[in-house]
Amino acid sequence: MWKITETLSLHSRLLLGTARYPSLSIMQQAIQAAEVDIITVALRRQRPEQPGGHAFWDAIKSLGCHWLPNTAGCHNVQEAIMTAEMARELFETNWIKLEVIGDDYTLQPDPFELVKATQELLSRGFEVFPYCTDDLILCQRLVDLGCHILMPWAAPIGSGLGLLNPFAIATLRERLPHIILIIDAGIGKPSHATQAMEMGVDAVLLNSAVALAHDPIQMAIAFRDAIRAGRTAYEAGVMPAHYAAKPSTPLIDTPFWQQESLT
Amino acid sequence: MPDITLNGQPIKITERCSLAEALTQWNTPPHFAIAVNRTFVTRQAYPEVILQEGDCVDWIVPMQGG
Repeated sequence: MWKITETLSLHSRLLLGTARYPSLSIMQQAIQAAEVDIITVALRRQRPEQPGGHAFWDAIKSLGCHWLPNTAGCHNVQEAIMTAEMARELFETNWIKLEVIGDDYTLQPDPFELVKATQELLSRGFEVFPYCTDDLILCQRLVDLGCHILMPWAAPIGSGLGLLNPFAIATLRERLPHIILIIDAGIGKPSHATQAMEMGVDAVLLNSAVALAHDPIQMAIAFRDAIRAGRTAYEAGVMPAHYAAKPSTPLIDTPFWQQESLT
Repeated sequence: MPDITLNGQPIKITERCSLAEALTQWNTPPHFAIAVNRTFVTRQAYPEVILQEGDCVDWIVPMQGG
């Protein structure tokens, strides 16, 4: 168990998105197989040609997970705040995964708008999960504003590239030891998630890596286990790496000790 | 009778119709939020919002997200 907020303890360190699955049924099965506690959700305008939305609502309700709504598609403070307010009413949660996109090609967050939106949403009583880059100073500013949780990217959303800058993530872990770090975006395969967890991040959020797998349910299981392995390794303490070889087998009293005297 | 737009479709409403009254006449989804002219309206404010000619009402519904 680990605490994501003062009052909420979770079993799983994997958070899963709900988008891009082949079907709602597969989404449900993948989420159940992953044994996650938190899933991310979003909002959209009702379109006449695409009525409803309650099938998705019923699907996520049956899972019994905590919902983390996002502000996907927002590009400025005003859009993000309005989306967050609507999400709070619709999903009945003050959690918001705050996305304020600054570049549509990379979906890189706009750090300046992000800071302003975070400040406003915190003042309105939201628990802000800011989707941010791995820039230390940006993250420090968000913490200074009152964020307890940060969601630095590993790589651009949906890219599957894995940790592009492990040094930056390690630096965040070292410099912000009491902040909950959830790696969000860019994870492509279970080994990426393990790598992040071995570095001491608190959790990993991903979507496409599971949803776009040939078998999303199997992949959900793979990520579940990878994240557990990474966390266990972090807690066990990874040995220090070095360039010189060191024999793992003791060489004292090997069977060939006498060869030295024969030559 | 004022013309407004509901989810992108033109629709007529009665004079001096509040958002709360209009919602009783529409086949709303079970879970939604409302934006009028791209501005969020809280549930508490529905009775106070009187819809005007040309208003654009959108239902905001849950969807899949990452």
